Amino acid sequence: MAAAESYPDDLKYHREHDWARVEGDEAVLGVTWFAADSLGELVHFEPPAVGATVTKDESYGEVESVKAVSDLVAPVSGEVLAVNQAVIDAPETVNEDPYGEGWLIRIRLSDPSEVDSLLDVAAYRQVLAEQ
Amino acid sequence: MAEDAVALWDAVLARGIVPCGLGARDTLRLEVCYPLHGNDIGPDTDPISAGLGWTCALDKEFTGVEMLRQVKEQGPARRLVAFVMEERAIPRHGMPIAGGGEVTSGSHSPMLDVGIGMGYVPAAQAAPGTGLTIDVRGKPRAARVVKKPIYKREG
Repeated sequence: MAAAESYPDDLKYHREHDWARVEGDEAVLGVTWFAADSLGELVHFEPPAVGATVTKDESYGEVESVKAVSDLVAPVSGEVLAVNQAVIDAPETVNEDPYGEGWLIRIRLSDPSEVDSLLDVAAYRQVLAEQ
Repeated sequence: MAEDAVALWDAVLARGIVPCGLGARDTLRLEVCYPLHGNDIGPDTDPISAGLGWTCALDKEFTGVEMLRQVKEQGPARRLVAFVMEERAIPRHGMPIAGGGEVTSGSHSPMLDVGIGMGYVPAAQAAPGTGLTIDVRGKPRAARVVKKPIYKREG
């Protein structure tokens, strides 16, 4: 079952519909409910390699539904510590729980000050309102 | 008339009908390997190479028959094959296949839960069981030629 629309207020957002949950010098990344809903049921997650570097505002992987492919845009830069194998095995997990079981990767932040450039939930909702 | 469309649609849905769009239809036709005009066949392809020779009465005279007889006699240089991905990846229309081939249709098969597709490959690569390498946005991904149809419901 696809999740109901929600945007948790403890997350930081990127206008390309990606979120970051910052925990100390690490962050967990994923895509928002809006992104998952727009794509439809996901059938493929192309993750970066553990140890790879992701760069803010650049693509770090892809998610794919039957109809469309979408780049995953890194909201912040860092080194990939883990990728979510549960999503590789069952990509629809992202539709079911985009902010929980459907997380995509965990990174170590290379520049924690980048977090300041991200949107809070109110600003992200404004982005959505302008879509 | 047109102003009744919404009411009609709502009435149909109220009967328990589930809407089904082109994406769903495309996976169905691809699983059974029905070629889609504009993707798998078109003005630049011929029915012999596409595996549709059974639709052509080459013993009769019609526009283009000589060319088709020639292709049949010499054997097509390339053939439209069906394939299944052996790695996690979804092939898409236009992706190159190593050795000179090209994907003409690709998607995710809901029934098999793997990437599937059709494409033209050199005749030497067309036998079922042949390994293919598909360029999925710069990444080489393994696939294998299978007999058509890719999927057929039992019974």
